Amino acid sequence: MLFKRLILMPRLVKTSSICLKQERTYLAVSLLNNKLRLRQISFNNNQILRFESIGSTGPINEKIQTDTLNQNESNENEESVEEIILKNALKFVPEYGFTTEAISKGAMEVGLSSAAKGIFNNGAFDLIDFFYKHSNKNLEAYLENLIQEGKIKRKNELIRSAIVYRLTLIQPYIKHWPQAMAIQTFIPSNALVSIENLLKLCDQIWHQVGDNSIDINWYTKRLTLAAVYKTTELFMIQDKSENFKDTYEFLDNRLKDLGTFNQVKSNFSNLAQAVNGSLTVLRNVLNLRN
Amino acid sequence: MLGLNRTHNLIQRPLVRYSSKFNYNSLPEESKKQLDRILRVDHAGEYGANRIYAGQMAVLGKTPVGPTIQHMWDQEKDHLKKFEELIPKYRARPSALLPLWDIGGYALGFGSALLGKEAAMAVTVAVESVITEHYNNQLRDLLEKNPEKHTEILEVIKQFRDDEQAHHDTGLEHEAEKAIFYRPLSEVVKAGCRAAVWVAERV
Repeated sequence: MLFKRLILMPRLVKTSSICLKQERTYLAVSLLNNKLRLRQISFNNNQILRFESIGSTGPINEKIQTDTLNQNESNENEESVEEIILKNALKFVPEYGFTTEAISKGAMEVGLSSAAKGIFNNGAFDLIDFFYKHSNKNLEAYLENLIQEGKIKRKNELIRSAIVYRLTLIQPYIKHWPQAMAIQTFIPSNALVSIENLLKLCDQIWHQVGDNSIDINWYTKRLTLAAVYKTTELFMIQDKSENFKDTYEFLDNRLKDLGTFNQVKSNFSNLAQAVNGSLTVLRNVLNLRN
Repeated sequence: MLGLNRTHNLIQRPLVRYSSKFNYNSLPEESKKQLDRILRVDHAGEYGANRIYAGQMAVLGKTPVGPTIQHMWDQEKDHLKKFEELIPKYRARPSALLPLWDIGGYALGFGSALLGKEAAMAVTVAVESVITEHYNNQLRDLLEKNPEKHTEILEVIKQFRDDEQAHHDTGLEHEAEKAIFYRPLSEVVKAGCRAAVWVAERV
């Protein structure tokens, strides 16, 4: 379908070919608006030259199609246009906040029209969502390295450094993060995605640190970690101390609380064992065992 | 700290970090979701099956069919162990209803065994036939898309499917069909198992 449209477009491209940059912008944006993903088409010079020659008809056209098709199949790992735009948009977040303006600027940075923000249906939330997932990926790589190095062995220390690192990823945007948290929370459809993101983050941390629980602990571990992370995040957006010193202290206290919580929990399971044991004694007394 | 105390382990599991061995992120998104569901329901199923055999053994352990049931139970234990390895590896979420499958399975095993050896075998036959059918469905789904990414799981499920089929046949050999109310009993158990599968895939 992409190629059919490319064939239909030459006339449009020709009429708008005032200068090379505009032509490129026009072509890319029309494709984007039609929800056609230019996943594998990167904006390097070769590619632009190819698109330039789309105006001509006949065999050249066919050649372009097959060329692009082959390219489509070959590069699987390249980022999609959306990702490229959002990645560049992050550069403008300190100035514009998590807004559609930042997305527009990001699009212009890669040579697209500012109207390219139209492909993001959820506007600013798409940017926040991308940032969240992108940071999760960074954390994964960081934690992987940390574990490979082997300096920190204890699980709770690994978890602490994971949370600290994940928080530092937010710090460059701290001024606008309250706004982002609001967008994540107060629109129901966004909130669902955000909760999923948070739980995925906690799942990822636990997985990398080495958790193989397969019972109710699986849930408690992730939920308590999520609670710790979220409260610390909330604390951080109000933290005025130098280098977020207070935030890290807050985090340590929350982790300590968890230790107490788990002690209480294990006391409860001891209680369960005691009850079980006394039942066995009772069964023995009543001679109910074979 | 952080929920590291585990006093109740059905089977002691070794502590392994999987992140360096296997690249979970190379799986396509839909495969991740599919494997999550599959591992959750299969783990819950094997867990329940273990409890059924535990219930049967509590009643029939000392009778002549004891060793047969014990043998099947031992195989189920191996299956459960395998899924307990696979769940963290593929980052699947375990079923939240494990306590329910625990009690339900034990009650089914214990109750059917009280009705006699044939009824216990009838329950085994019914359960295993549903599980075999369920594994076959999963194999079909896994082969449909990206089978090359699912080789490990495919191998595991294939082998377990064959084991469950063998249990089914063992049950028939031990005169399951002579149980009282064989037809209604087997239909009820089958319906219950299918419902449990449906729930365990989700919750």
